[in-house]
Amino acid sequence: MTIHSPFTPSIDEVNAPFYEGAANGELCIQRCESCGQHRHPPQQRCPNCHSDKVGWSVPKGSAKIFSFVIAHPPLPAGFAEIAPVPVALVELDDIAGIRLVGTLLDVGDRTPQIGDSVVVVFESVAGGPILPHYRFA
Amino acid sequence: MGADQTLADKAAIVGIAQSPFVKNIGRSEAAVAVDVVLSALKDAGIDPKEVDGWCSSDMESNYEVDLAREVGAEKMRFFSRIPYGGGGACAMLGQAALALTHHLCDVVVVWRARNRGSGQRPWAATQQPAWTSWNRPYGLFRPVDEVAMVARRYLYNYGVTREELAHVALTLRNYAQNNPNALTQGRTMSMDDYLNVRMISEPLCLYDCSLETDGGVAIVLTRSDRGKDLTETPVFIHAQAQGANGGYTQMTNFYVADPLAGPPGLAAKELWARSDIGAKDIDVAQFYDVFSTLILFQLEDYGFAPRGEAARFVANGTIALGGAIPTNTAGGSLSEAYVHGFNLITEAVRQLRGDAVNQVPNAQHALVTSGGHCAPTSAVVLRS
Repeated sequence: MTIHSPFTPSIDEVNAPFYEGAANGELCIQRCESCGQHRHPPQQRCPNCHSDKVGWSVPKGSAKIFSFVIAHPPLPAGFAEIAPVPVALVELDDIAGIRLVGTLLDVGDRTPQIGDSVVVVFESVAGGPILPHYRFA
Repeated sequence: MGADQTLADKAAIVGIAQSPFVKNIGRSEAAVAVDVVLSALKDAGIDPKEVDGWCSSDMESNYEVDLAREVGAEKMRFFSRIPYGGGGACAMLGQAALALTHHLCDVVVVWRARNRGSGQRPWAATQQPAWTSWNRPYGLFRPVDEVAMVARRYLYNYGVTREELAHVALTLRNYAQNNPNALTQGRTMSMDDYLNVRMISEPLCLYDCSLETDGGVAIVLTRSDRGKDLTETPVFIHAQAQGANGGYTQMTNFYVADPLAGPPGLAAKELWARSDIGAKDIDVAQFYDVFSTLILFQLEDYGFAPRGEAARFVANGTIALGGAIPTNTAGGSLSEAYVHGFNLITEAVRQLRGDAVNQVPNAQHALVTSGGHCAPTSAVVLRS
């Protein structure tokens, strides 16, 4: 089992394009090059046709909040300083069925709601690497 | 329904023991494990040298060989470990029953000792397993954050209010007031207490979370023919099941078509198919409750409430003593202790022996579950 520090994702040959894309400001979603089905998180084989041929789609990055939490302390250093931390599970608008987790940034006084429109942003949160997070559209 | 005749009632729980449940036990997990194993064997009336089977969690720090050496066991013929933390406890009873029924061994000890109250919080460790990559760096740092995400969606879909959800925690806290082993005995909880306590991961507050506990539990099983000679009150393993849906991801289940349809639905289907005892026959339930919302999901998945209705059932007294399905009658993980769900098993055994502190009159059939929707899960039907 790969071990990593809690703020640093475990990067391997399967998921590396996701992180390289994020560093370059692109949201990269794994796609089967044989049957075209998308999947996230990245994995080695297509669960539909078992092909290991992989491509990456770059959706617009607009999404709807499927659910969210607001995390309060105790939290580790980094997140403790910016608590309470809203974190969302979002559903992409233009790739059906794909969900991603990200911090909701710059919410201000607004209370998030399920169904709210958000857009992906690429930022470092809590001192971590640049990753896809979300802002209200 | 139709009992699996090769397994049903062929193995029995004949001994149980548990340590004090406290915030800081002041002893090593090794010392606690040896204590509870010896106490459970004494409860069973079995000489420790006879233990030849062992089963625990892959998170357990004590090795079988060390416990066997400590208690003077003569040989080890069966040993296995179940993964997925709190999802494993009932599966260990199932593995023990399988091994006993097939004569792979004669006496199995299932145990768990965990200093989770005084020890480090697993989520706070500076080294984390790879699967947390999709959660931790984004702010889903703790199990409560992972569970709260699905909980929020459930509450939203079915219009469940905090006042309704509160009744899970309130009911379990009420049970704990009669339980001298409960960490929260003497600390009653009102609706105002619940609504005003601090939030941990909205929509879940402190009282929706289980108790960080030091403690240990051991359970002794043997084949039922011997069990009947050993005790007046053997507790038979009637049916057992494990389950997780396809597409499941560790702790989350975020990426499947319906994240609300998690492992318990599958385990329930398997369990009832292997059981002559159905949901309507269950006298007392012990649902894995590391967080309050897991009880709601499982009441629905195991067939005690229609989808989306569990919170209203609970608010109407369904899981209290005298209700249709008294649940987590010692206070559960929310108000007795959190020992990875193992204390739910000992409480079910006490209910079927007839010596529980909140005794369900004439309880003959019990359901115990492990893991809920936040881990690959397992469950057993026990009968007296």
